[in-house]
Amino acid sequence: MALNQLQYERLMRFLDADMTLEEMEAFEKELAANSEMRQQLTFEQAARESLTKEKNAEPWFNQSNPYSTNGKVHAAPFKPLVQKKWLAFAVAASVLVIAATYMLFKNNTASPPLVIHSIDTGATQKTVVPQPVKTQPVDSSILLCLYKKYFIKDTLPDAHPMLLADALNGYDNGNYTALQKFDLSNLPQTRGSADENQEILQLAHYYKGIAFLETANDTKAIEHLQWMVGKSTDKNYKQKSRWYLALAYLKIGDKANAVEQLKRLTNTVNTYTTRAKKLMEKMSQINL
Amino acid sequence: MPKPDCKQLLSKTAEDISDILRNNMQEMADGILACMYHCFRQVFIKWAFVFYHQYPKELLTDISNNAFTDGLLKFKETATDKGFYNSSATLKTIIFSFCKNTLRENLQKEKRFLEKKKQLATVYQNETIFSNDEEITTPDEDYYLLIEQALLKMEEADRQIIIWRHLYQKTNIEIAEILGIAVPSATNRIYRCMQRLKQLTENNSNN
Repeated sequence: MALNQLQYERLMRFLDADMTLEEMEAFEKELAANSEMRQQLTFEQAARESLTKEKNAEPWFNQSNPYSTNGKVHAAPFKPLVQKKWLAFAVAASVLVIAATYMLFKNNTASPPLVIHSIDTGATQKTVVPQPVKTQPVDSSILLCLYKKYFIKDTLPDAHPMLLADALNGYDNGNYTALQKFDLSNLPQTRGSADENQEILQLAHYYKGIAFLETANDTKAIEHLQWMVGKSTDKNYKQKSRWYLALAYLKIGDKANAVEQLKRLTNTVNTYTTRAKKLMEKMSQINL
Repeated sequence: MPKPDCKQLLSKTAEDISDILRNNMQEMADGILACMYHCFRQVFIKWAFVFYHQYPKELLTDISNNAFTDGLLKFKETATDKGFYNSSATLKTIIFSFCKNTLRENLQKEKRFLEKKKQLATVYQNETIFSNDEEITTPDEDYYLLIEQALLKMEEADRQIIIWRHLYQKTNIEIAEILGIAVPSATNRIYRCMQRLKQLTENNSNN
């Protein structure tokens, strides 16, 4: 026997703890008398635990909400499908209209009439090069869930260069603007500053990468983390960056690159080896 | 000290409370925290009893009590350090999310501890210091995995609804707003999605 709407509403209110003490007591009695409701509650409980078991979901404060920047509320993480469909239709229609106009314009002005010439006129005919089709990432919402489960903002090192003090303090407090705007092209060039500059560059690129991930600017996050993976001389930060780079790829739904980075992490022994293995296992278990 | 007017204080939003705490309005902040403790503690403990019915009551009383206090402190810390953005979620929902997460973590630790104890009891069978009686039956990791696999098999639209509901812990009212439909329709839709997920999980476990 299925639950009726009122029963299910009560169950939802209970799950959200949106009940008074008296309502909760009545609900407890109802649960004791209704096995279907008990089963449903157990299942909802398991579903919630399954989705949130590795990371606390507290979406109300700025820090953990990847869809908010500097305290401003962004749109819901997933747009309503109805709007998505209309948007897709609108984009498709616009592309068609632009393509048709372009073809019409091209035929009327530049290109010769479509007849077969027996003599080569020497006019170069443009060959249509097929554009690479950007495939929609498969199960991007699941990859995003995995990202959310595994992403934990890294803490600051015990000591860091004075030049980065403000930017990193901001990072620590959840204000990423100073760090994101920190200019890495004008570092002081004094004698013996090369080593210090390298350290500044490493720390800045690494924490910038995480900061951009926090503020949902994934492309920039990937740029900085790639710099770290390619150019960092510090082995520890290199591995850390590889982990965050893998997570960044997960976030954008790029499974292939994420797996590649994770595989590299598992090939060596480091702090992230176990985590990377676990994440890869999870991905293979759910057939991703 | 006069009893604070809880109704008035708790009608404030999480954003207001962040401002109060950040601007060091100590007396008001203390009043609000006292009200939260006074009004929500019992409800939370009751909720924990029903939700985690598989745990022993004595254990749950202690752990949920501590989780409520810790959750409230975490809420205060977050409101002071990071701040909240203007959300449609009520103050109670936000505080409870902190308390629920703390409770879940503490229960997981306790469960691991009991499992360790059980292993030790098996090893030292002849000694009486470790009892083998305590056992908590909660869904195991495999069952969670089955749910995740089932979630993958679902249609994108259904999956999104479940993610809103259980990962982002949105209420049916919030989901109705996002989908642009009436609240009863949203409730029905969530129920149907959960039924489909349940069915797929059962199919997975049979296979």
